[in-house]
Amino acid sequence: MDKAKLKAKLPLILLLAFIIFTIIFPLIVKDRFLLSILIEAGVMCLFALGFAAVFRSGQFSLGQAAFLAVGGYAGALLASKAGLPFWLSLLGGGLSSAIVAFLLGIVILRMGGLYFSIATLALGEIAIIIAKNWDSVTSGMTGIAVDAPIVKIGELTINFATTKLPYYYIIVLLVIMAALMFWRIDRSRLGTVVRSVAVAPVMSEHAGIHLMKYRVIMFTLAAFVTGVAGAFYVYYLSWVGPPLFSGAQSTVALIMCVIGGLWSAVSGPIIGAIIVSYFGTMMQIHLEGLRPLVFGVLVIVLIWFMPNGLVELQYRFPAWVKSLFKKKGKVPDAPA
Amino acid sequence: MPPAIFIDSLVLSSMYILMASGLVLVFSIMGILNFAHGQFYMLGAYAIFYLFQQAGINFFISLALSAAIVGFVGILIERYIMRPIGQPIQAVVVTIALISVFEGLITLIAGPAPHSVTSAFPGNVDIFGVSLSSERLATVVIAVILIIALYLFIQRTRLGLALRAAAQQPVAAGLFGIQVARVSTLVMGIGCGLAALAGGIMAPMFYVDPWIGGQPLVMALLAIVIGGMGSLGGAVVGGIVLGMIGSMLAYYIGFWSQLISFGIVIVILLFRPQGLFGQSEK
Amino acid sequence: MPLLKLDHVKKAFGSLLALDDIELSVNKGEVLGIVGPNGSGKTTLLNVISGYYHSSGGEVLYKGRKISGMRPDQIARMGIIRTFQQNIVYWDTVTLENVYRTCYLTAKTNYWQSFFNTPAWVKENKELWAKASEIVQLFGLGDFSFSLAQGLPHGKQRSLGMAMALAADPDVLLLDEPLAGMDAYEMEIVLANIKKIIERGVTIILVEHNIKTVLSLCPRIIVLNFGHKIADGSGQEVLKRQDVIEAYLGVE
Repeated sequence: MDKAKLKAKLPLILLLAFIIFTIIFPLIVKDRFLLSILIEAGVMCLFALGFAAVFRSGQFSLGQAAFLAVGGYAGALLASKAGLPFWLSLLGGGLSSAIVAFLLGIVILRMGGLYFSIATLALGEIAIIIAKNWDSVTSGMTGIAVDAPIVKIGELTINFATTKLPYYYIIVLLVIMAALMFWRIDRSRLGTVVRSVAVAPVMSEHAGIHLMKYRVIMFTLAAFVTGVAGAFYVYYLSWVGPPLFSGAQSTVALIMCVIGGLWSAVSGPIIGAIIVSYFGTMMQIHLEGLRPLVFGVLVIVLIWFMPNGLVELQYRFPAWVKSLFKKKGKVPDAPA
Repeated sequence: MPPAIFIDSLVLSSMYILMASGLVLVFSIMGILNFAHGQFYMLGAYAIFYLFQQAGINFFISLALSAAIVGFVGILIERYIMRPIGQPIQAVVVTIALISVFEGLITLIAGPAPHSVTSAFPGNVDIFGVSLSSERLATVVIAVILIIALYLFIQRTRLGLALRAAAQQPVAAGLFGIQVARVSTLVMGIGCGLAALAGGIMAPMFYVDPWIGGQPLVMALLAIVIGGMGSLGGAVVGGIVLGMIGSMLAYYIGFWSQLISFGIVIVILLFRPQGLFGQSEK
Repeated sequence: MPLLKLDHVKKAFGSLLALDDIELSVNKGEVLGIVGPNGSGKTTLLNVISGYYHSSGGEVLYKGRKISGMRPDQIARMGIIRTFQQNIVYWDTVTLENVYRTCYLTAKTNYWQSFFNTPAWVKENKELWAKASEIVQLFGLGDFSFSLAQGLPHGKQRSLGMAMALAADPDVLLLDEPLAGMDAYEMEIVLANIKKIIERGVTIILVEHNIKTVLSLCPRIIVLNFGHKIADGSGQEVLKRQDVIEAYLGVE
C-alpha cells in the first residue's frame, strides 16, 4: 500500500527535487560559462513550449521565431525608448507578441494545415525583412542596445550588469510558470478540447466546438510565452538585431520538441530544449566547423532510436533495468 | 518592363518551378514536406562546380551527372532513413536535420568561401533587335524543356500513371499492384534530381556557397501555395506568378519588394486558400 | 410549429444540383427516414442541415430560427448533432474518453474553474465521466472502455459514433447511414441502439440505403431521387408509389 502511494507520488517528488536542484545548482557550481548556456537553454525552453502548444492544437507553425522577434523588439523599444522597468518590458514584449498573434491568428488560422504552416513561414521571413529594413524603429542591422536593468527591492539593489545569476533565476521562474500553465491547460477541459480539435477537427466542429476559437487561443498563448522569452533574451544579450531571429530558429523549436517528445505537453519540449541547446553550444565550441554535420547526424540517430523522444526513456529505462535483473525472464513491453 | 528584366523574371520563374515541382511530387506521394530540398539544390550547384568548372566536362553532361548523383543520394535517404522511421513528423524533422548535415558536409569538403562558375553560354544574342544575355536565355530554354519532359513523363508513361495513382489513392493503387513504397523512393529520387538540375543551371548565374539552398526552398513553398497544393500545373503557375511579381517589384520599388511578395502570398491564401488554380473542397 | 423546417432548400456543386427545392418539416419526437438511391442527395441533405455545407438557396429553420449559414458548431450547440458515414473517432485515446470528450457541450463549469481545479469542476468532472461511462454501457461498449478507439472493430466504431452523438444531449439526431458495411449481427446491435435513442424521445432523421431497416424504424419516410423529394409519408404509402418503385428498381 505504502509502496503504491510512493510510486504515485514519485513524479511529484522527482519534479520538486529537480526544481530544488536547479535553484541551488549555480550556488554550488560556479561556472559562468555553464550558467550562460543554461540561461539560453531556458529561453529555448519557453520557445519550444510555445511551439508545442501550437502543435497540440493541430497546427504546425514554421514562424515561431517571428514572435520571438516581436517580443524582443517590443521589449527593447519599451526599455530603451519608453524607459519601462524590466518586469514591465518583459510583460510588454509578451503582450505585443500575443496581440500580433491574435490579429494574425484570426486571419491565417482559417486556412489550417499546410497552408497555415507556409503562411507562418512567410510571416517569419516578413518579420526579418521588416527588422532589417525599418531603420527608424529597428535600426536595421545595427540593432538596438538595451541597458542591463538595475532592480531595487527595498534596500537591496541588484545590478544585472555585474552578475548573470539574477537572469538565471528569472528564466527558471519563467520556465516554471510557463510549464505550470501549459501543464494545467493540458490536464484541464481546455486541453481536452484542444486535443479534440487537433485529432478530429470535422467531428469536433459537429460536436459544438468552435475550431477557430481554440486554435487562436493556443496560438496567442504560445506567442505570449514566446514574446516574453524574446524580451528576456534581448535583456540578457543587451542587444537586439535581425540575426537573433532567423527562420532556422523556428525549425530548431521543432527539432527540440521531437527530440524531447512531442506527445507530452511540457516535459518533452523542456527536456528537448535543454539537451539540444546544451549539446548544441558544446559542439559549437569543441567541434567548430564540424558542428553542423555532427549535430544533424546526431538528431537523425536520436530520432532513429527514439522516434517518440527522450521522454520515452521513462518507460524504456525501468524495463531495461528489470531485464538486467531477470536476465532470461520476459519483460513486459513498455506502454506506448 | 525592359526585356532584360523580363528575362530575369523568367529565370527566377524557372528556378521556382523546378524547385516547386520536385517538392510537390515528393509531398503528393509521401505526404511530407522535404525541408532539405534547398540543400539538394545546393548539392546540384556544387556538382556543376566540380564537374563543369573544375573537371571541364561538357555542361549538359555535367547537368545529367549532377541530377543522377543527387537523385541517387535522395533515393538512399528515402530508402534507408525516412522509410524505416515512417512517422511523418519524425520524417520531417529528419529532413530538417539533413539541412545541417549537407551544409556541414559541403563546408568541410569545399570550404565556406563562395565559388563562382563560369558561364557555359557567354555573350549576348540579338532577338528582334534586343540584346539579351545568352546565358539567361539558355537557362530558360533548358528549364522549359525539363518541365515539358517532366509533364510528359507523368502524363504519358506507365510509371507516371503509377505515380499519379499512388498520389490520389495510395491504398487502391497498392491493391492494383503498384508498389507505393517503391514509387516513394523513385519520386524522392526524381524530386531531388530536379532540385539538383535547378541548382546546376542557376550556378553560373549566382555564386555557389554551402548556404544557397535556403532561399529557393522558401520561394518554392510560396509558389506551391500560390498555385494550389498537390498539382504540377499549380507549381508552374505559382512559379511564374512569384517570379514575375518578385522581379517586377524589385525593379520598380526596390528593396521592399520581398516584403510585398510575401504579403501577396498571404493575401492569396486568404481569399483563395486552395491556391489560385486549386479546386475548392466545399 | 415544426421543430425543423426546410424551406425550398437548394444545394449546387458547380452545375450539378444535388438538392433541388427540398420542402420538409419535422416535428418534435418524430423519427424520419430518408431513403433514395446512391447519389440522390441524402447525405448532402444532412450536410446542409448540420452546416457542413452552406445551402445555395432557401433556408433551414430550427425552432423558428434560421440556421442555414451558421457554422456547424453553432448548429450543434442548438441541439442538432450528427453522426458520420465514415468512422471518425478521436484516434489518440480510448473509447470512454471519446465519449467523455463529446460531453463538452453539457458541462457547465468554465475553463478557469477547470484550470484551477476548483471543487465545482472536480464534482462536475466526476459526473461527466459517470455519464460517459453510462452511455458506453448503454451501447454495449463496456468491455472496450479502455481500448483505443482506433483499434475497435468496424461495428463497434459505428456504435461509438452514435454513443458520442448521444453524449452531446441532442434534441435532433442526424444519423448518416449507421448500418453501412455491417454484417447481420452488428446490424442487430446497432438497430437495438437506435431504438434506445428513440426511447429517450430524441427526434431522429435517419439516412439509410437499406429500405427494410428504415421501414422497421421510421413511421414516416421521405424518398429522394436526383435531388428531388419524390415522396413523403408512411412506409406503406410511399412504397405503393410508382415513381418510388421506379427510382429504386426501374434503373436496374
